[in-house]
Amino acid sequence: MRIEVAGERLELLPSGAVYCHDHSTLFLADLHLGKETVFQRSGVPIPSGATERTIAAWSGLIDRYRPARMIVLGDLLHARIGLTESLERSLCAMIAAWSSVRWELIEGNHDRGSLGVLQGMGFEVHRGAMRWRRFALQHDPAPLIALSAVSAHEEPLQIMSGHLHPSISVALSGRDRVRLKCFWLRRDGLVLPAFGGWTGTHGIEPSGGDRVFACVESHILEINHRVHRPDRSSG
Amino acid sequence: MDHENILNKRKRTGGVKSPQILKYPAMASPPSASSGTFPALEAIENWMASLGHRAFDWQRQTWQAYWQGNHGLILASTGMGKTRAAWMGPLGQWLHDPLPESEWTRVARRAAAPPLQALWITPMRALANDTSQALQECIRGLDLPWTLEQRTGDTSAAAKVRQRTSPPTAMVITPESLTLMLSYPESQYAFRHLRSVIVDEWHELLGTKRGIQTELALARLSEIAPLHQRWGVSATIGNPQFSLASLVGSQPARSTCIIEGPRRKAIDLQLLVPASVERFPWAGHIGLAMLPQVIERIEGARSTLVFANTRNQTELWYQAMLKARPDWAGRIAVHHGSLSSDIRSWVEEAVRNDKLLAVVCTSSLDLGVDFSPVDQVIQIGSPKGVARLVQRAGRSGHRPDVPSRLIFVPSHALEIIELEAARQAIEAHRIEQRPGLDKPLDCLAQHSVTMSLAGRVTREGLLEQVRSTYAYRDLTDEEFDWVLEFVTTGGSLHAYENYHRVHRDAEGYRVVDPVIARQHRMAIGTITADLAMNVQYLKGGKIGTVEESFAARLKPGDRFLLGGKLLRMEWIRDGTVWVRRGQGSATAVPRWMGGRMPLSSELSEGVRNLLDAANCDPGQVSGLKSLADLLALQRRWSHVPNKDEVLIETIQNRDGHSLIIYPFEGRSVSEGLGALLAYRLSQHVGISFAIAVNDYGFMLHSPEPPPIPWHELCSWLSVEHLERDILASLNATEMTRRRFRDIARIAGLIHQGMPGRSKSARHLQASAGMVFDALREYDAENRLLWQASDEVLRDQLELHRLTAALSRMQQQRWIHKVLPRWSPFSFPLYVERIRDRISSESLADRIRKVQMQLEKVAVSELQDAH
Repeated sequence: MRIEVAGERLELLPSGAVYCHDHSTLFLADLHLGKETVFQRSGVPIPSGATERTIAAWSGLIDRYRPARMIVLGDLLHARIGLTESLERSLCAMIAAWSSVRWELIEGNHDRGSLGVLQGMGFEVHRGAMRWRRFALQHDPAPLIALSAVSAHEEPLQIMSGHLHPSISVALSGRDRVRLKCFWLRRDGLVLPAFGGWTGTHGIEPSGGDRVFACVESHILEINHRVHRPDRSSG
Repeated sequence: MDHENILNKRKRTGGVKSPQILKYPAMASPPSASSGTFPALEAIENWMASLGHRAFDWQRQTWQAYWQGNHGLILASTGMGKTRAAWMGPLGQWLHDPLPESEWTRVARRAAAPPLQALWITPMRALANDTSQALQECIRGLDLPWTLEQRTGDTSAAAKVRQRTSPPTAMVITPESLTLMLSYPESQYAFRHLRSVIVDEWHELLGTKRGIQTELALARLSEIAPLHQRWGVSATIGNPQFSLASLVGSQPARSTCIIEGPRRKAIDLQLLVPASVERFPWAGHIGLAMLPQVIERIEGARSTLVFANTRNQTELWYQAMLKARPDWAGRIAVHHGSLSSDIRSWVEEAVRNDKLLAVVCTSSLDLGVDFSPVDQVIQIGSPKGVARLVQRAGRSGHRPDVPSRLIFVPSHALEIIELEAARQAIEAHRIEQRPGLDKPLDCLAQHSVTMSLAGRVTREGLLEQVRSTYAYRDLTDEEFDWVLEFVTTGGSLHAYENYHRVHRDAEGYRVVDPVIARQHRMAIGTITADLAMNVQYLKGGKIGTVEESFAARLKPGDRFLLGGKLLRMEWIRDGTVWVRRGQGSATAVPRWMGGRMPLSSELSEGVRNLLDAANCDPGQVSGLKSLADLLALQRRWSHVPNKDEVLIETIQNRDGHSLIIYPFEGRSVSEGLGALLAYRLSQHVGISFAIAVNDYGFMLHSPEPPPIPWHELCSWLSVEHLERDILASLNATEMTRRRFRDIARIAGLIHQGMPGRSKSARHLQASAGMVFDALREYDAENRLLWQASDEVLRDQLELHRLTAALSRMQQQRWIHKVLPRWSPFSFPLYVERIRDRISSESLADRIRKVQMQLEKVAVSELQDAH
């Protein structure tokens, strides 16, 4: 599914990533790598597997698009204690395998304790926000972070972000509903779904002019969210 | 009100029956059986005489049975002297055979006292105070050197620490606190002199996970103090043998007995209905219409408990009563499980001290504190079970000479049949059984960690201990090893490399990480806590809790009722719903889980039999007189099924086609059957149906005509592939996911969050739903997932009843009637169906309209008939 935002043609991918062909740049957000490890270390037996699968999906994308720039919109890791040796090894291996890619990370709230390590591994880390074309790239969509590169007479930038893990609840036949992770195109910019495998989602309540694109297996479907508004009287 | 018509029925149910002692052979001969008569009998009777009391025969027999070294179960109603029956055995034994003073313990600055001799386990914290007083009175009366203390979640931290090493001689304790104490290594010494364990209100624990937790704790006590005697105190239930077995374990070391106390004295059951019972009953309709009569009855009594079936209903009735009688403000109150414990204990105290005219409550007041001032109980809506009805009636008339009075206010006309069925069941002494749980692995996982906290355990030792409980007597090696694997490595090979809750070494299993130890101890107490959010005033002051799912749908400014107060939601923060007092009327109605109990199988059968009886000889079943017109109309427009018939009704109108089947087997069976038939038909013809259910039957509705001839329906409801189809037909994943919440919490898959530490632990927060997703995706063989779907099938859908109903229906004659208009039986289902789609106001209008049309036809037809 292609959409145009702030003058850029962007391809929304069913995995939750965004690819810009014109500038050979791949975006994704909220991988939360090592999350299950964090739980395991605290005595909660969450099975492993999500992290491995997320990394496999990620390197699959890189292999397919061969981007010049790979920009992660924050929350690459879930917490510092989740960064095990084996996770570090697989990240380093991926970065080494695609040495032509410029690996960049916008700092997310979960990355705060790990920025040094990630830099050491080869990530170019941006604190707060970064400008890209007519976009402010930042982890949390709110509020717009002031960028020194933007002059006062310019129109405000669109925000490309993650952090919210957006999902939309869609009515199927009868009373069944299904929750789908989604892209959320708002007046102020685009919010990406969480790319990570076991990250949880947050139900959004889009307002009138918003557009919602749900990830359904290998497709992107635009959802008419005015029809699928959850019924508040039942339940 | 002149149209009031009270059917005053006084029936003696049971009456005082002579006590009965039933004996069962033991596995081994009792280790310390004493012969002869109970030597302390005289001392006890003298003391009781000094209070003007006399011991009952059945109490004496209990003491004798205790003295002879039995384990036992006492079946008796509240207020019949069961506390003394259970307590005098241990006290009397001490009188005759005290522990030498050299064995007594001395705690700093206190006189030496005998070490822990007796545990009194009570399921309710609220009962601990009352019970302690009663037990203490006996100790003092017999002049024993015993100390007695409570041990509940409310006990101070300092006392808890002291009790761990030097417990009192007798301790009143909750199951959670007992498990917690057993998680400390010191317990091995603290409990070693234990001689008797008494479990009060055992029926409340039976068949619940708290009951399983108790069974496991008792098994551990048997290891520490193998000679202790164990007694349970229970209300009457339908399967006392199972109750006893669960209490004493699979291989009791002593012989066992069941002692039946006198059955409950007379219950005076009354029915409150309007003169013209509405012919087209719909849920909740008659209910509030009876408000004036209910108020009148409350006025005529000293103190009344008004039981409603849901928390929601209690709030509505309380509001309606206050509106009708503003002068009752402060003299009536509301009480249910979602209110804060402060409010609840205030209400309980006020009832006991005779300060309240009435309390509107749910099952939260089913048991507990002795409410002597209460002289009547009003039950709104069917109690759905015989045991519950008896229990509630028993909350009134606590003095032996006064009968219990229960006034039944049906919420729709057909419930009158349920009351009559209940009355007959009580007379015949047919009380529901308490089904047990099938070796739940979540509780076992929790217990394994608890035991590994108390000290290193071996696989064989733990397995033997666990199998000594009745619940886990059939536990397979495979299941047990899975649980051990789950707590040590996570359960599946290579999957959980960073997980070490329990550490395994050459000698056994043990918890080494102090953080994990602390987390686990905190989790022990949460077996019952539902996932709820606190509701609190901005200015401070807790009101109670609402379910997470309800809170999630609230918007700032929404108003809802809780604790009889109208509240306005301001914001949600830190797991708390912050509110102010609201103005105007409620915009949202909280729903709490467990609101709708299905009609029990005893009552369902009773209803089927009564309809049969009414067919054979209309007018002979006196309790159904007020329903005569309604049944006559049902017979005229359709049919009233006999015992050996299944009624199917079909009706076509502007909406489309409806097919209605009446298995009369409770709402969970209706739900299962409805979903099953709809699924099988839709697989065949590709039509989808709207389904409506109630306790009597279900309705499938579709725009197209039913795709198959009605006489073939029977074959569509075959038992074949039942389990497979039922899981495919319902939104089974969603039900399992919901069920999994409790399992995840008990098995330690989610943290409750530590008080005052919610912020720093945020990266550790995962909802049960997320854990469920993780397991399904990355560890689908996890047995806790299996357990969740088993629980859905067994407890929620009542698969055994469903199977039984299907088999029964296969044998029955199927009667098909094409309805000219909604029949009295089908109308409530019609209401159920449209209820889901329409806002409540237009719903009431629409129903009234249809009802008026039907009523018009009915009146003219019945006049013609007369």
